[in-house]
Amino acid sequence: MLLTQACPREELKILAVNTDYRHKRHLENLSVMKGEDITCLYNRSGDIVIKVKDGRLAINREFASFIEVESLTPENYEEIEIHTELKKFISKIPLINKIKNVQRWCSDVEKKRVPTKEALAEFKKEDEEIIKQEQLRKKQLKERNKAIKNSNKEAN
Amino acid sequence: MFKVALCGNPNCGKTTLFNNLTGSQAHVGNWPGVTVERREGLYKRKKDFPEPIQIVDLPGIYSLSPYTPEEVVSRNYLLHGEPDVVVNLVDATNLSRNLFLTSQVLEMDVPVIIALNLMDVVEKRGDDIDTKALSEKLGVPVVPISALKGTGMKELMKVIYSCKGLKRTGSSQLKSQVLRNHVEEIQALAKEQDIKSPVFVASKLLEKDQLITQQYPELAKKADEMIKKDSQESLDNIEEQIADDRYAYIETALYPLYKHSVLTPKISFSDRLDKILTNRYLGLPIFAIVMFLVFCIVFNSDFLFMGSMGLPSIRPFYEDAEPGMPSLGIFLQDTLDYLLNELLLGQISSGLASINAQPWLVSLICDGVLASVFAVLTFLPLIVLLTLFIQLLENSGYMARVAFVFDRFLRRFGISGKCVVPLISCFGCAVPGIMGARTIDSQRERVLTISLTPFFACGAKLPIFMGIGTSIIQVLTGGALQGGIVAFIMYAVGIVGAIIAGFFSNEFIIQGSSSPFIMEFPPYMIPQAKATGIALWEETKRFLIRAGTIIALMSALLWFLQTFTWDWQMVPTITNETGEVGDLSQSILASLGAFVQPIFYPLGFAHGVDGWKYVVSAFTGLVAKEQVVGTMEALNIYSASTAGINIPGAFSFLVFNLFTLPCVAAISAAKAELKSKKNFRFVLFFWILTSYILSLVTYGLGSFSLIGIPGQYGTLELVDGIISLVFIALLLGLVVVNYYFVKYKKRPIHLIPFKVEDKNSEFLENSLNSSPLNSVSNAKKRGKGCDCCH
Repeated sequence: MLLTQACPREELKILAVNTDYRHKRHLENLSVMKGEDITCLYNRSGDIVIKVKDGRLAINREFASFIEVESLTPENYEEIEIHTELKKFISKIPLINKIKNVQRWCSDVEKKRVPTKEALAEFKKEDEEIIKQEQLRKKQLKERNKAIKNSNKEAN
Repeated sequence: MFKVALCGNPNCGKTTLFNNLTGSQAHVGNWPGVTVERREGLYKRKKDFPEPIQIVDLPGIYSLSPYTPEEVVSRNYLLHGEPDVVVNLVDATNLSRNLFLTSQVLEMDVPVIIALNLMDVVEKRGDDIDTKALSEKLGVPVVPISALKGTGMKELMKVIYSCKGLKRTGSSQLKSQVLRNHVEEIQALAKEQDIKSPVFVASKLLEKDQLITQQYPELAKKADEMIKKDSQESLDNIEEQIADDRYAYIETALYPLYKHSVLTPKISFSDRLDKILTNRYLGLPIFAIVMFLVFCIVFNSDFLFMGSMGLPSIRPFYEDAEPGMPSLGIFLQDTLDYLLNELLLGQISSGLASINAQPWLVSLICDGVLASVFAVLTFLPLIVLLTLFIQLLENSGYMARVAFVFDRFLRRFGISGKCVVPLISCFGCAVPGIMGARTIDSQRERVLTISLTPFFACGAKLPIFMGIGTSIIQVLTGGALQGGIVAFIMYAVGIVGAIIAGFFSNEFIIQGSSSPFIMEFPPYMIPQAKATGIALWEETKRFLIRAGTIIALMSALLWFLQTFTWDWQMVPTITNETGEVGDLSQSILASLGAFVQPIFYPLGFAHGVDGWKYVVSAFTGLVAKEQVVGTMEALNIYSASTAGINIPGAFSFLVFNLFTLPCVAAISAAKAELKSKKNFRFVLFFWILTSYILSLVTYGLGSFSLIGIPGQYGTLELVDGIISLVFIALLLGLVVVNYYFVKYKKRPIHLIPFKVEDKNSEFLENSLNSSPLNSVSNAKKRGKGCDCCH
């Protein structure tokens, strides 16, 4: 699939970068290259933000569509038709349904990848775990800083 | 002299380290691409070492195969500048990506020192880097430092000095045996030809680096033949294989030396903040609110519109002032105005009178020079406050996000988000904005960005907006439009104008697709007081120097031209409502102004007997934009009663000054950056034409409001109105026709077939064909020419 189809927080592996030599080299310098593991951080119809190595990289949508990726957790995601519900609703209104553009718009059913219900529940659990870890981390950091301060005092 | 070059990835803290070592005050910011040119300085603690040490700060570079023009500066210096030591600054928080450049620098025949920057952040996280093991693995000294906090500086300098006179042979960091063999073979050939840094040249030839291939064509040919002969596997993607090998080595051998603590947060603060600030729906409104708040604090004379809500007047220096309280900027401006014009100028005037100075001398000093200089100086608080807020936004890391948010929006108009960062820098001063355009990889977009720089009003234009807004428009509209609101409108007009002008240039003049937007997001940081203070001091210094030199000199010259006639006699005096004043209409300046005045008649502000004064004011803005206000003060058109202008005319004057040619310094910067005469002429023509047309349209449309007012709406206004309407209809018509051309004939209209010119045709071609769609055609050109030199 293309990078543009990735979901936020989805872990991906880059399969190919199908662009010209110059941009390909630049992406290689930024470690966006074949075989690299990345995480999609933000992707909502506009530009895309990915996490690569320890950095965050923003790539515009058109360019992201030249990067082929594969999901490392495909079981967590499913494809849905985003206009299905709207189409059903509009088909019940005869007057609107007669308008040519609306008909055409309704027929262009887009497919979108979204997390499955199970994955969402898993993500929720993960988030709770992260929050717990964060609290623990803050506590540990405080304790560590205290210990450093005390040792400094003793040394003085 | 002992030369030390600082190189590293963009935004890893090179300039902060440079400032720390040399005591310089170079501009720093939390976004990639702040430094675009080489900077040199001497190590500040000269007593520590017997020989002076020259520190060279280079623009950020991701690898030694450059992508943008400012990266070329770094590469050229590293290869041909002959530094004695190269300090490779590595961002310790993003170690593996930064070591990619290190793996290439180590291939050069020069002593290298790795400075691990941001170690304070690493320690704060609870992480650890085994610097000793890293040093052993890389075979060069590794010094942990924090450029921001200044820790590890002495240790770094000691290590640097210990490398003096040492010679180091470059070593290949490639671990794949096949690639190593190829490098060694080419390296042997390079050694035979006595080429400097043979390992580096060999691996770059293997990577098919265009610059090295061009520099050593025979060696490249031999190397190519040798690889083809020896190699059994496909070498189509050899550059990719090399990059892969470098990263594999970093990941397996070097990155494990970074010990992540359990204390490291899983989701960083920056990620959380990015969810809100780069949100699809919230991103643009948040930016608009931030900018509006900045403008409110800086120059809203009715702070948060409290006066409109019934708050009584809280203004210390004006008894019959409007209700409400002033913003911080306006309060400081009023205070400075009182101190300079009421107290100091009065004291100087009476002091000169007490020593029986000649009247002409009193007039020259007080009315000629000081009145103009003080009129300009009163705007210093506003400019400093505006710079402060722009610095806070830049140093926090928000600028890169602004570019990201705007990219989606601007792409529809053919402009990439990368153009946004230099353009926003123009709010401070146009010169760094124009130079910042180097970070844009497409030449077409660079020309477009430079041509749009005056539209983002620099700090020096603020006095014009506030001056005309407060002294003329606010009075003429009966307080309905305050000076601060006028300034805000003008800033907004500039941005909207830039988008429209960018769209039309892109559609009909400099056609082409916008280049890909690839930008690294820096982590958010609390703006550092020192860096912000340096930027404020630099801005204040620049402003004060301008006021004390150029503006004072120009004011003296203007006084001379407005005081004397062509017969070298002082102008006769006339009596008007303000008392006895000189009849300026007989001065040399009036005749010079009147000579060019007819050109500006259609713009509305050059009408009547005093029209020449506006023309002269606008012209003096070419020297420095601050001078416009100084000239207006000197020519006594700085108040509504003596202005002799109507509201559309005043707005037309503001629009003209906003869009027209910037100051001489910015014009020279544009000439230097554009490199080609053709491009420079195009940009000059674009600035003049745009300002003239937009000013005419402003007056033409605005003058419709004058219909029915006796003596205000005449033939000129009618003609202007018709021309404006025709012009707007023409533009809209062009858009519609273009839409059908694209739809049915599959090609856009090329109104003025302007082709962006570059000294390096290959680089230009690459830039113009920067759309990844051209991958096939570009792939064919692989290996031909260079995309990075010059």
